Amino acid sequence: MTPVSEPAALQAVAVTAGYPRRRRHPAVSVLEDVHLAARPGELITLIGPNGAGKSTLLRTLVGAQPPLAGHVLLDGRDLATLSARERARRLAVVLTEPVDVGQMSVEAVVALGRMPYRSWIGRGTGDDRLAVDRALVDAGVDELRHRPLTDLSDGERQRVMVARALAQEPAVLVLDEPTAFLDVARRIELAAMLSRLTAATGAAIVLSTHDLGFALRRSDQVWLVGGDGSVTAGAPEDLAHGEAIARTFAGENMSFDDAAATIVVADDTAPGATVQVVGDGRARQWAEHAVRRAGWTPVAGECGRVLRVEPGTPCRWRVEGTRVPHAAGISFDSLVTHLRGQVAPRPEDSRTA
Amino acid sequence: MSVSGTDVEDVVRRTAPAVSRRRVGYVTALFAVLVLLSLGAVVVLLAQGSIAVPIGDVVGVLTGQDVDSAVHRTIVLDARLPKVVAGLLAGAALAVGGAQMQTLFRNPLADPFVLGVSSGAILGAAIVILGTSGVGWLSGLGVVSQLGVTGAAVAGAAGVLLIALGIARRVGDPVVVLVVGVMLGYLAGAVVDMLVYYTDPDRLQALATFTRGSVRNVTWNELQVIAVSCAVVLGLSVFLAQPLNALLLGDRYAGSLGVNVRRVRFLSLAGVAVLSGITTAYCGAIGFVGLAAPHLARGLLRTADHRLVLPASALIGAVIVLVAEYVAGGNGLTRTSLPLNSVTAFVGAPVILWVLLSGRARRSA
Repeated sequence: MTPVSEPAALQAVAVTAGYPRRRRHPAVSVLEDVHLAARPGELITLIGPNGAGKSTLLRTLVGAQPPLAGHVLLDGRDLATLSARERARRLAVVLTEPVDVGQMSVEAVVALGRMPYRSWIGRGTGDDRLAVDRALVDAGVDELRHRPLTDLSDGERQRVMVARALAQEPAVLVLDEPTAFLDVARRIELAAMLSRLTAATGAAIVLSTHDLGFALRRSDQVWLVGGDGSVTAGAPEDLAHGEAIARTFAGENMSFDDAAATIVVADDTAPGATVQVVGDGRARQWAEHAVRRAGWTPVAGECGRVLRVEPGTPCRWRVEGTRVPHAAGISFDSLVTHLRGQVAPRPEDSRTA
Repeated sequence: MSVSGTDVEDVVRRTAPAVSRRRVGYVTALFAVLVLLSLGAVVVLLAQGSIAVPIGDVVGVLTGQDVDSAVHRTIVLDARLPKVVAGLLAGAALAVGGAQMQTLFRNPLADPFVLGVSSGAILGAAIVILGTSGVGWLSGLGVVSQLGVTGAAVAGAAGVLLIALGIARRVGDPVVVLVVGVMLGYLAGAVVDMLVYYTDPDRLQALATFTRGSVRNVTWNELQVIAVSCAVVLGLSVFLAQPLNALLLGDRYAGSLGVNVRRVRFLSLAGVAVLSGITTAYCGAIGFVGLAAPHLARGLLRTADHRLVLPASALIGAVIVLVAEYVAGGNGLTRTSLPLNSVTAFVGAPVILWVLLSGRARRSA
């Protein structure tokens, strides 16, 4: 098991992506000298700010637009030399925009994925049927197979489009912001499904997303499109630890929160307003959240103030210490109100009060 | 993919056969009914008219048996069969053309008549027919063959199709495209009127049937042209069924499935131009069939799969035109006859309204 020697399912070699010269428009290269490799079974997320060139890169990788320079290799063969049909047997896409196919059952839509394998007339074979059934099961839409696509929710529809792509039995599956129209639960569902699919199908899955948390938690590799025309590939931890992600995304008043693995608005904290939080598990975690929201900074060690929280809902809390008046209450709402009241007079003043 | 292999086979064995067998049965029965309906319409139209021919004689003539009455034989074969076959083919051609246009334009209201393609065909034909009589530039051509008129009609249809598609790809809103098509149709009609105004009245007779839609004047000679070209194009459109299915997902998905979108669109448009151009050249502009038949086909089949919708539309279109011809005068109850459009509108207009009001038009924009 040496991942390095494993041949890449999809590879970009010195690719310059952009738009060729047109009448009265000069050629525009959006991304330059891009080297990427997606190995079989890897889940890869493509992240980057809006306008950095995520879509341009994706379109170039799937052959929808030719690279200005360099080569995109699919299973080791140059994408430009493959016929559209050959390409469709190795590479499948799921697009952002919802489709309206009129009256068609889920099964019929998924069966469209078998087109690259069919004769001109479109007769299905036993192989086709089996591949469609497998795709329906793998994408978790088997119970929906006889329902019309128009009846389904957005999340279900997106899963059907994934099933349709799986029916192509691709070596590489590319999804363009598959979670864009989905609510939180459906997003997580889709993400979990994609992770499972890499193992079940052995395909390399590349998806673009704005969900940084998902990108860092779930992916084997992150392709980070910086705003400067570069693409950095690496393990999520390496990119986060090396601050490449922070540099790309964090702007003014924003920072990369390592614990939450996401970009957060920098807290507007009062200087000196620190408190040690004592408690267990979730109660402590949310107590720290409440402390930050109130403009205080939770600290690990002694600082003269201690906030104790007890498990149970609503949560009971108690603030004690040498430098603050003792207080106690029930629910985080009252805790935040109390802490905010304490911040307004400066901590030094509160000592004299 | 092998991980879930056994589950898949279990699931398939459990659910698939019962449902799909029922479905196959339904579809087969539907097609059988449609074939019987069109055959029935053919026989009734051959039998009825100003002189009634017994059904038995009609079937006898059709199946090549000896029929006692030579008169009946002549009526059926020479007077009625050409118009009936022409109606059958025109209905099928317009319906298949309409079904393809609805997918190509991503517009449930597209059809050769509504989008002005038939008017374009009339314009093409009118330029050739009238142009030779002294308007000037075309008169030098001399012989105006039937094929010349036909070719001009196809070219006119193609011209309007290209303009309409160009606009549809920019605008997107089906209702706007609909209005644009109607305007193109008016424009083509206006040009035809201008040509008529400056032309020799004797030649107008040739144009008379164009705008009203009628299969009654088709002769055996003309039928050969219609039959060969329609049969070829209808046959070839079988090959377009699968790529058109992919186009239902949109151009980008179709491209990702290995479909050459530009080529499919070109071939399909060329086919539609030939089908509607030829139909219009010989039977005039028959309205609403191309719009209504595909919707009825999809509604009855409960699918948008072109492999089923195209043949079903063809049969339904044929039945509509034949029934319309029966109502319009083929029944022999009256001495005069209606234009076909006056009858097909009864089917077409409600379908347009239904599509508009059910909101499908808006959603697919």
